[in-house]
Amino acid sequence: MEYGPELLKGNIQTLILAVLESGALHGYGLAREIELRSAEALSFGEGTIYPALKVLEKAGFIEGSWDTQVSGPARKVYALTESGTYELARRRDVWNRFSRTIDQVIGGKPVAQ
Amino acid sequence: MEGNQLLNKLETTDPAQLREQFLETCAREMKGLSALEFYETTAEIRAHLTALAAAHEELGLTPVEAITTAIKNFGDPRSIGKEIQKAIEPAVSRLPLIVAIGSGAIICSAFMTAADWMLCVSGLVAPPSSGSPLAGAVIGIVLGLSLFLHRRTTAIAAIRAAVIVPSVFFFIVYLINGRIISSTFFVTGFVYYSLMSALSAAATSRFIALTGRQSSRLRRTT
Repeated sequence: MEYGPELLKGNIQTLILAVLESGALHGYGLAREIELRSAEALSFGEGTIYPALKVLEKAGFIEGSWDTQVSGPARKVYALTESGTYELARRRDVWNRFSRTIDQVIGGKPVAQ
Repeated sequence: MEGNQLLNKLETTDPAQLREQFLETCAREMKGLSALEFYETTAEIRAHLTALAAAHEELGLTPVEAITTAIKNFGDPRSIGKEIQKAIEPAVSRLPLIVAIGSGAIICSAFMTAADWMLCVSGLVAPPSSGSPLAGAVIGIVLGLSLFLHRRTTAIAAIRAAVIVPSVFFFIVYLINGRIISSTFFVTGFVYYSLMSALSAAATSRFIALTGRQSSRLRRTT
């Protein structure tokens, strides 16, 4: 099952932070890792990664450095910074609370009184 | 414009040209980026598209099919360009323009005055007056603006300036005097102005790139 881009909107930055927690990656690698982890269920234009990367880099949550390869073009590799690690933890917490709340509403479970 | 719509408008079947046309569409929306941010971002997207197309080729697609599929996967180039532009604080986008024009004026003013002094030492013109740095500054403003708008590489900027600036100068001399004073003045002047214009363009281009890098670092640390 694939999810539309509207469901991803606003969460792409969190996905990037989560993937970078495992190690530094370039834009193409990030797209492949998100595809792999979601079993190809998350459908989005790969170009949308770049505005998100710029926002995260500007905020200081990630930092980029150029990796010059022996063959092929140089690629910008992004790594999580210390503040990015804290930001990821905060976003995970927000997401977990949010998803629990949504589950309570649409999952048919009665809310505890 | 979706990636598919862009592909319908493209006339070439050369994979590299298809990729560059996608990048150009994307780049048209990123006018507020500093020269360095612009080069870095387009280089990143180019590397990504190349890797994506290579992966499609490994799955058996032809080079053209591979790049067109990669472009479709990438999404709407205009929307990507606009989002990148928005992400890199549009409020400071005027600063690179001011830096480009200001540095162009100062650097070109110094180099063109030097060219006039070289001609004076050669005995071809009178010692430069205050008009020399002023004319240099005007040329520098045009040069800085051109570098800001078109984002040429240092080498291309230098070559273009080396040809255009002395050509325009001697055209103006011809318009004013009805002739180009003397062949010695034309040849020597063309060489000196050409050399100094090239140095001005190269120095301005490098300065714009360096200040862009410093400004990016500053924004990251604040």
